[in-house]
Amino acid sequence: MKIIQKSILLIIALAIFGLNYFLEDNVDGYVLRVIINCGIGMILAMSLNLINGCAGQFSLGHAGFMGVGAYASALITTVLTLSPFFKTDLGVGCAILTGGLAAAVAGYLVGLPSLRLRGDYLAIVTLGFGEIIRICFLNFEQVGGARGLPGIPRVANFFWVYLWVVVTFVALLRLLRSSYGRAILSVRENEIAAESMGINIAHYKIVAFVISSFFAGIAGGLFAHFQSFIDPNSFVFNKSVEVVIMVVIGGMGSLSGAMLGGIIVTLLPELLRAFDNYRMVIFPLILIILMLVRPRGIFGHKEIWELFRKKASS
Amino acid sequence: MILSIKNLSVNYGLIPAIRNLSMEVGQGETVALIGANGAGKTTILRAVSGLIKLASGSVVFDGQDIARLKSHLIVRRGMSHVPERRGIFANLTVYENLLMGAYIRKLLPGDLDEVYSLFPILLERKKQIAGTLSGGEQQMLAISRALLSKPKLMLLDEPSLGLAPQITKSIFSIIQKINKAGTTVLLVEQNAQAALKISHRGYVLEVGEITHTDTSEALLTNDAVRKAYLGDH
Repeated sequence: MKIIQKSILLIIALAIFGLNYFLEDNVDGYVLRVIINCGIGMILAMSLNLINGCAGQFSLGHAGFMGVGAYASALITTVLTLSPFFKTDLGVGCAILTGGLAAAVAGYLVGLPSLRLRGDYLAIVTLGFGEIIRICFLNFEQVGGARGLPGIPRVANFFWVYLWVVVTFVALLRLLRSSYGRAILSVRENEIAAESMGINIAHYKIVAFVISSFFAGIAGGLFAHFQSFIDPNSFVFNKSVEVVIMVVIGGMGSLSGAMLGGIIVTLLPELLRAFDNYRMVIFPLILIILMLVRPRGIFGHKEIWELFRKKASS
Repeated sequence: MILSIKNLSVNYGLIPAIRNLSMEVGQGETVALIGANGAGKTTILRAVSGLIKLASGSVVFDGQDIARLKSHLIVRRGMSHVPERRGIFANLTVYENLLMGAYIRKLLPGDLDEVYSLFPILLERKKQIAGTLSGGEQQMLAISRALLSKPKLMLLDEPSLGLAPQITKSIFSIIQKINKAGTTVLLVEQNAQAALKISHRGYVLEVGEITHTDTSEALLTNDAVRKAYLGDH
């Protein structure tokens, strides 16, 4: 990576660090909570975008990967009292990373059927996976079962979440810009032609699943260490659908679109709180209108900066 | 022989599509495989490039049996397949499509220029989304993309499909050029006339079996072939 890019990233990281203290002092706790949830939503949406948007596979099990990450990391910081190190910021960071890796392993296992299945059929398999994961957590007494897992150290703050948003964004952007990423895109575009280019389709489908579920696991870990309490209900099928909505709204295959989708889907229900119970009618209504106006998502296949570049040139 | 197919059989489920077919392509040749709809032309190409499994038979490419090799590995041995309906990556730019062509090797500085000199229109449309190209341009892109893997043998599946006669003509003359530059070509076509005109030898395929084989010149004057495929009554 060039020095300029490195320094830009460093500045962004410092800015997030500074903003963290600013927000904690000056912003209402509820607002900060929503902002952090937006960040987690963005990571989830960006990661699912790799499978659904870029590789062209349809996964409905993202909450499952998130759950694996959440429970695996929370297990390290609470149940398995390994060492006091895992109560510190750095220790929790390591635990969250482990959660991501655990989710990546799960992603590998779920990626395998994707070699033989596509479209709706794959969606059903991934849906099934998500439910199996949730029901496992529901029945393991060691992680609290239906009562959930309380007392998770509350370490993930604005800084940690948005640092991961940046890491996810940069990692996925660089992946998509590489020949590796183009190979993933070509699998979506035309499998036969991709194979004729010498691309091992099976390999890239699995890679997409593994990377995507890694970041979903990270999002889960952050979620657990932000809420300080998780239960199987946090990772229901509805959560997976929510993430799919984020990706579709933003535009399949668009990273910046996924980020925007993550914000919209997290933020809208909060903004509509004034409408009380009607918000669950108004929210979907807004989604329907959005899809009618922009059928390919807000940004379509493009990134936000590409949209502006096109306007500037024409 | 760069490619020799012996006793190839392919089934779709229980239904045999190709039965006991043998054919050869010599180094440096352009060989045309012609036949009507559903004769099995595309099936043969797909079986050769590993996209579908064969029931029996052997495919020897460049001295090695590739019959049970996976498609993406066959490409690495120097065989490039331009699929039917072109199979371009519609949402990627022309440039990105070309980069994908060179996926298996390192792209050298002159490689793209070589392709652009064959098809200057692609240079003009470099940044355009490939799906917005015309049919002819898409075919040019598909051929260029295949060329960028520097194949020894290029399999072309119906390059004239859906194209105006004029464009077909120019594409066929470029195929001839590519062949003269040293790439062996196996050309599958419904447009028998055009295919035989630019090829050295031809095979005529009817419902999974080869009925005629000869030099292209001889096939062009063969009565039976003329009646069946060249619109001569």
